[in-house]
Amino acid sequence: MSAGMKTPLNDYWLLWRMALSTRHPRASAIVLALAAVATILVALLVQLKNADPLMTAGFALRVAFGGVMMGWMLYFVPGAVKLNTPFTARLVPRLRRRLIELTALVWLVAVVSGALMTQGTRLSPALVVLGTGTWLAAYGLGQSGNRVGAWVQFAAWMTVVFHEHLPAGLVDALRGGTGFAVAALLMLAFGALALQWMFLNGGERHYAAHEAQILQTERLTVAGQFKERKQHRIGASLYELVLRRDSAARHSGRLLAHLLGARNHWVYRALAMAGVLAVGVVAMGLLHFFGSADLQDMIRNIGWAGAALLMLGALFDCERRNVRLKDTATEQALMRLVPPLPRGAPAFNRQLAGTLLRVGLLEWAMLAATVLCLGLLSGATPANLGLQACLCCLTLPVVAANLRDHAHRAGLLGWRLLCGFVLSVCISFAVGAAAHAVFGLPMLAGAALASIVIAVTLVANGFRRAESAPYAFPAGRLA
Amino acid sequence: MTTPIIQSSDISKYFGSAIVLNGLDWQIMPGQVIGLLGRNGAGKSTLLECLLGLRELDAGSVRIDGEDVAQLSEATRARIGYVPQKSDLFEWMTPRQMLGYFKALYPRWNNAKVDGLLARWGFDPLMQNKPISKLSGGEQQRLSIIRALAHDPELLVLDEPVSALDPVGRRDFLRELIDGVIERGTTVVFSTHILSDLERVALDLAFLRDGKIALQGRLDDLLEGARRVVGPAALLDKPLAGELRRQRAADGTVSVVTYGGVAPVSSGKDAGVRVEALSLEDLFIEVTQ
Repeated sequence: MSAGMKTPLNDYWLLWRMALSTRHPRASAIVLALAAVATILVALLVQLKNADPLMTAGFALRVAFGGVMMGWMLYFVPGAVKLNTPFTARLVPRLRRRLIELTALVWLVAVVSGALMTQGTRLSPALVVLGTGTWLAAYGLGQSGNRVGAWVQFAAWMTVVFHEHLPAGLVDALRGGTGFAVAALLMLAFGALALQWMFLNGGERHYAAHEAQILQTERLTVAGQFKERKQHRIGASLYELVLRRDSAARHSGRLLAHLLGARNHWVYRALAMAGVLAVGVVAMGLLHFFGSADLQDMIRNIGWAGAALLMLGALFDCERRNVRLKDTATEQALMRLVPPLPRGAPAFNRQLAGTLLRVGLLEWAMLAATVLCLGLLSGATPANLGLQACLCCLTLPVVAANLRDHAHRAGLLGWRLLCGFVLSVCISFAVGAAAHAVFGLPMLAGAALASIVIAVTLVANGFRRAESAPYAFPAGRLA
Repeated sequence: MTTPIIQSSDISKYFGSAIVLNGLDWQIMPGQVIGLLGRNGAGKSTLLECLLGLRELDAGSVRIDGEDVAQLSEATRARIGYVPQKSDLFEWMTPRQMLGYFKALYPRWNNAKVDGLLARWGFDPLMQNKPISKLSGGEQQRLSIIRALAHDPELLVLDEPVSALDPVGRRDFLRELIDGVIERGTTVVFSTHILSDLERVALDLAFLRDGKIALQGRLDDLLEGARRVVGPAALLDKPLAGELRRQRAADGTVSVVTYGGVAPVSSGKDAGVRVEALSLEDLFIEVTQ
């Protein structure tokens, strides 16, 4: 290989590893290893089933490509945006140019591969090229903190969902000829704009955009914990009102809850739920006017169950509170010294546990109310709404996960929370099945009752643990 | 006899196998203004946090106003002001909100002082309503100091309070510390690396080394009493009175730092022994190395 060719390839390889290492030191090796393992596994399975080397190679190629593309999307793009700071863009030789080249190259390969993969299917290569190209460009734009990217991605998904309602003439025009050429040019222009935005070339504009980029690319810490997001205007105004009210009331318990930060206050949760409901109303409206009869029937019959999946959000809420308690350790040092909080670790921890439980229950209740409202919107029957309420109760034990020995253990519970939740659901269903067999109680109702009992037991245990633990604040100091 | 406001006895603190505080005894008397010095990682912040009960001790005890720090009463806590080393606190609030929040938590709050400091330290109405996360490091540190001074504490603990401040900010802070805090008889304990500030403010100094207070005294006495004796090894082979540190140079000369001892001036210049006064910076280097 000539030296002229070797330098860009070396640069690309270096940048790939650097971009991925912004998320995890060994992310590059992990991504490549996972892609390799998945490829070998799929190839083996396909070969065993069909004994057709050509087909096996085709599948293996698709999986390998898919694995690398996942790495590119989830790790490389945000990492690359992060590498291109206002300082590095201007002062580090070749960096910005190589990042643009590499991103564009992978984008091109993805688009062409997408078109090739349509061979032998009913999909139109032209539409796949346009869809893949536009969506990937929008994804990159979104990852650089530009909201237009997120909106274009949303529009792309909606186009896929409601493709039957697109004007047939327009779709036909895009399949080839002048229509395709014009759309492809527009896609390329959008892609170029996205690249330009993703990799700004320093200066005031870059500094101005950098904050949004950091918010987008650094949502997680290196340890994989959520970072506090920026407040939005409506939320900030409402939060100010509530903070002023709580300060005027001098209620130490309520003031303690503010330690979790504005974004974790119930005001923001209420706003988020209102947003979810608004989206639900719009979606149901669209479905009513444009959805097929079959789709409407399906939503009416099982939409409530889909909405119940939102209750899994309780796990994320719980984790967010745990992470915030770790992140605000210095603030907690000040809170330890403020006069009205109880004296001594047991009393202090009891008050903190009470506050966290109140916050957890309130957020759980808001989530459950939203889910039930979505069920109502979807036209669920009263019986199905009852089932939905039972499903909501299955997540109730999660609220106890914030009642822990914060001094020794802080931050994410991770798989422990997930395993605990799965165990609780299994026990609840086992109890529900037993109650159904013995008393004839509907199984889901029995499971819901069991979950409530589990929640009460866990909360009682959590309070006992908190009372015997060292001072909870500053959290994580004994970890 | 006056009782110490902070009384720490034989305190030890380990982080894993690392010994940060090693049987440290320290008393701070009411009204004392004491600067805590030590190298990076010497354990100054840990010591201050232990003194306030923010960290558990592995051995020993700390009492503030006679109360165990793990069980401080409401009244005692209301008399303590603390500026932690990290200044980006409550960054989701605005300065106005954060001060209102703490005002609600303290029984005593000096509104006039807060407003005066905000005005003097450049917090215009626009800045007071900006999220704290948007303030510069120096502005955040100034705000942290205002918060700590707002309830007129009788014991003020400051952990590197001026590290992010520019010279003007440092001067303003020191002026406030002298006029508004020290003159009121407040007990002040603060750690810093900026020795010129210490010389302006601190009446007493304590040097932390190897987990213990290696040297403590009034600033003037320390500067007066500390000497570096340099001479041939043959003449300085025996330990000197008040010897703190001894070093042998490549050319065979020996340098001995003493404090409070009688310098061997009688040996005279002819014998090649010279006695030097130490600046605070010299003393810091000699005591903490």
